[in-house]
Amino acid sequence: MNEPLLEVKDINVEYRLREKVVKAVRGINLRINKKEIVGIVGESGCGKSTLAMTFLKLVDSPGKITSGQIIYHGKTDIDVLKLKPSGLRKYRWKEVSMIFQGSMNALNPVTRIEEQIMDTMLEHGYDQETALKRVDELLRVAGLNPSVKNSFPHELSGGMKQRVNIAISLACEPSLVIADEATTALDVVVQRQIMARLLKLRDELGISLVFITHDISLVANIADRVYVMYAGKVVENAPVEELFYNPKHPYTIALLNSIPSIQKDKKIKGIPGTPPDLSKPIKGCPFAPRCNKAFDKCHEVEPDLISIGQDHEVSCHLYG
Amino acid sequence: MNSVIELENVTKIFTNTQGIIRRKKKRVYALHDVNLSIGEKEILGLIGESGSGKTTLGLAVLRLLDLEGGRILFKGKDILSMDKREIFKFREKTEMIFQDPYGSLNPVQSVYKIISTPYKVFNKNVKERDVIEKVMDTLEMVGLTPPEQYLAKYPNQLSGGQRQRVGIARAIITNPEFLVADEPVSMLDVSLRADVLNILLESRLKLGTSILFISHDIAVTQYVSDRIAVMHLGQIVEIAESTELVNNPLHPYTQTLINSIPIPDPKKKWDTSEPKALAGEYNNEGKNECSFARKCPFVMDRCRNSRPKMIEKGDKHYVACYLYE
Ligand SMILES: Nc1ncnc2c1ncn2[C@@H]1O[C@H](COP(=O)(O)OP(=O)(O)OP(=O)(O)O)[C@@H](O)[C@H]1O
Ligand SMILES: Nc1ncnc2c1ncn2[C@@H]1O[C@H](COP(=O)(O)OP(=O)(O)OP(=O)(O)O)[C@@H](O)[C@H]1O
Ligand code: SF4
Ligand SMILES: [Mg+2]
Ligand SMILES: [Mg+2]
Repeated sequence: MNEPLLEVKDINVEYRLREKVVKAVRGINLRINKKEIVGIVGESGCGKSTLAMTFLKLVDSPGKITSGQIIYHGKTDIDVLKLKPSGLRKYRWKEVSMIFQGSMNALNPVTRIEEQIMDTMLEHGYDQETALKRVDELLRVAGLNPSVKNSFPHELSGGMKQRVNIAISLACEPSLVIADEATTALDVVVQRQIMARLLKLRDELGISLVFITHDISLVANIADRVYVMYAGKVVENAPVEELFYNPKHPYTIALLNSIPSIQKDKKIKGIPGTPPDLSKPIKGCPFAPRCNKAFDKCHEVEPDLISIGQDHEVSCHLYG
Repeated sequence: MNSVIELENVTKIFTNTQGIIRRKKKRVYALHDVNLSIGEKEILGLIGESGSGKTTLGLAVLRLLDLEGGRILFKGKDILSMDKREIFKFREKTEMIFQDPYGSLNPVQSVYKIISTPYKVFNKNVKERDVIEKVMDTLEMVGLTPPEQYLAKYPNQLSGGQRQRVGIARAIITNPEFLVADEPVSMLDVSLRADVLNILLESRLKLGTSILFISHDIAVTQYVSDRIAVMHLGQIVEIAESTELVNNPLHPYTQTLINSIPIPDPKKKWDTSEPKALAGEYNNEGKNECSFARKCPFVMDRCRNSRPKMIEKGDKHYVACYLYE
């Protein structure tokens, strides 16, 4: 099924600081289909979280969405960036929910977990009785014992707090859940268990999921499609098998080569060099200074994202 | 091998409020009779279930918690009975990289202030110019380049991985003798991760830093650690040299854990049928049983009635499980 649920069109985001402007997202196009699981990977600071915030129109000052469009195909089509506060209230959490990066620190320290999960539902039109009933089930889906509802956040471990946030993200039965580094504190057994349940929700309720993560193995295991970002742009995107078996962009190739694995017993290496400063104008391919295949043109002209073969896009002069 | 840190029968119990009636309390044994030692220049990996007590152990060995039982020695000295001067010295020699880079950086301090503060406390007479120099060097080490870009920033102007690296810079700038690194690379992409891990390895090599390395990423833990300890519900259930532990796990929990490591290959996806209820659904309430008894596929009667002791099974490979007694 290839029906689009969320379409992101040429989005640009800047952080306007006193002395400079950081261009965190530079013209990104992306599409999430119904029932699809999308992985977004890329170097730290390349704009993944900033991009995800635009899906919910949550970019705050000094950040500003300078252009672009986000279309959500729910019961009706919604132009997300044009939503007024009342429309946003109906859209956020009910249609699209998000587990924020660092959300283990975002729980209210003075209220019990039960109240926090219920509040999310009560604010979005659930009645007290239904909300109360759902709490245990939500915690169970997230891999927690329902008795955790009586705890305060400081009484929980990092991974337990992450699981509470996963429960909250599912509370209002959204069609799309965006998980930004939502499983960093989960052991592989718990992670796998929660993923199995999310996949079941996808199959039964038809929800879509976006995983923003540095955990490439997680992406390999559950994503249908992967977007690779570098310096505020998408540099490659393809179905998961195609991306892992036939990576094209030199950054993607380097990324896949630096995955440590328990089978290998060698020194793991990073990618030499650092990403460009996004507050300075970028000339040429942003990866060129670190790229072992770069040639003259790479230092002069920034490559466009072009389609190469079936359902596979890359932004690199080697293929243009 | 001389040990830097030694835990002897350490027990930490949290009493959690349960229910709206405040008097109902539940006791959680976050550390239950833990024995462990970390050698000089050793990197000890600590893996295990989410909620099993890893962070608690890390906080305890840095004297950030009191204990309900047992004692912790730093170079032979009981850390809970140190006097003021000894505590200052201890603080100077030890550091922690906290698990949550969002909760552990002071939001009203600039990156410069955050990183320079510990350095200044322990280097009283350095000139500000040298401090700036040192901070910039450290920022560069963790890949926050160009460093001038970051000095004046506040945590909320940084991405997750950038915050995490500020936390790492703050901890390594004082060249600690002993470092607790709690999920230090969880928000870094694999290439940066390699750089940061190599920094830790180098600091051990050059300065002899001992490290307690807590992580859910077993491949990464194996890469940096000399030995790996596995925690389950407040107890260490297995400990061995790191390659041995990963290749030859003995404890049923360790086996489950190692078998669940996802493979970065979309053609070898997880079996996504609903897995058996294995994950953290109950706590250690101090019962006299093996912590894994309620989930173990090999459970025997005696596992439910007493707690297995650590025994040596093979060269420096220790396991607490009745299957091996
Ligand atoms: N409030 C802000 N003010 C100024 N700059 C910001 C702000 N938030 C983010 N940035 C900058 O924008 C860039 C993109 O940040 P973003 O958080 O989107 O990265 P990311 O891809 O999510 O990284 P990570 O994987 O480390 O979380 C970074 O260089 C960051 O320093
Ligand atoms: N301050 C506290 N008060 C009450 N209970 C606590 C407190 N801190 C931790 N606990 C409990 O102690 C147990 C161990 O928590 P800890 O944070 O050490 O786990 P962890 O192994 O670090 O887990 P994770 O991998 O999820 O971070 C958990 O059951 C937790 O709920
Ligand atoms: S465009 Fe050039 S520099 Fe950029 S990734 Fe491709 S080959 Fe490398
Ligand atoms: Mg981010
Ligand atoms: Mg922890």
